[in-house]
Amino acid sequence: MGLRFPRDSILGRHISNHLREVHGHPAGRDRAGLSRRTFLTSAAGAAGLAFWLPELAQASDQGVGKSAAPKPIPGGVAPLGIFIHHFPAQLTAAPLDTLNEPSQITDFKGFVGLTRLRGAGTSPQYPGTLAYQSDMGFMKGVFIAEAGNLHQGVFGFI
Amino acid sequence: MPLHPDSLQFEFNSARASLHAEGLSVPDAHDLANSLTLGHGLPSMGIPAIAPVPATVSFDVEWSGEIDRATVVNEAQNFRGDFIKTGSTIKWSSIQDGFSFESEDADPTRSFGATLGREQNGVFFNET
Repeated sequence: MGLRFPRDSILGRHISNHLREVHGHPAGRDRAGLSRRTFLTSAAGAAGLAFWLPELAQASDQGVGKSAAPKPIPGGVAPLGIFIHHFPAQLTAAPLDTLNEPSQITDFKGFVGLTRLRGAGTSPQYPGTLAYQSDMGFMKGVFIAEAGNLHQGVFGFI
Repeated sequence: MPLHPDSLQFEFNSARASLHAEGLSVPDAHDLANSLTLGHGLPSMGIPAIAPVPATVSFDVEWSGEIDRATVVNEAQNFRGDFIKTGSTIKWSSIQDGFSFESEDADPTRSFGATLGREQNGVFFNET
């Protein structure tokens, strides 16, 4: 989930170039290998970061055409040394005047929401409690798309 | 990702919002590193490449309970607006081939931070 962009979008090109230039190509993929359970230790976070998976986004077409694709904010953070156009939700104790940009898209005007939660849950396939962290958000409003046109929409960061 | 307008309920002045989805298709990237690297892993950190698999998620996220509100102008990041710090909760589940998960009930003590805002950025930064 999360905002999805085509591979040839500005964001898609940026991420693909970064992966190729900085992280190189994988030696191989372990399709059968590790348990999927560990996904759920950070499931929502990982899914949220699927926001930055242009290849997957293209494969799972949600109806966003290139001309209507929003543009990412210029700033962000770099978990594991990989830059993403996203700032995590501000912690409850932090003052609002230190707030980072809650939106993931730029040239945007509207309503935003962002939250970070941690918790636990269960699975019939796993005999214990599984922990998770979720970074969730939304943007609702108008934005200037890649092609320069004004659009209106609701987006989720999941 | 684009969402149906009905998936979001938002009342800025009341400091309340809810985000709902049912059976939303997502890639399960397995872990953060493989999500960030499109399934390439980070061999230099000992994280193997694992291809994403199809999954679905359902969730209800709620923002409520005003803690603070302020007008913020951040010229360095080129955004401004009115923002409200709130509480938040989530209840979610996920299903994929051979695995499913259901979270505990929504619990406001699980929130580490939540913000609602009415903002403008980029080319709209200076728009009145």
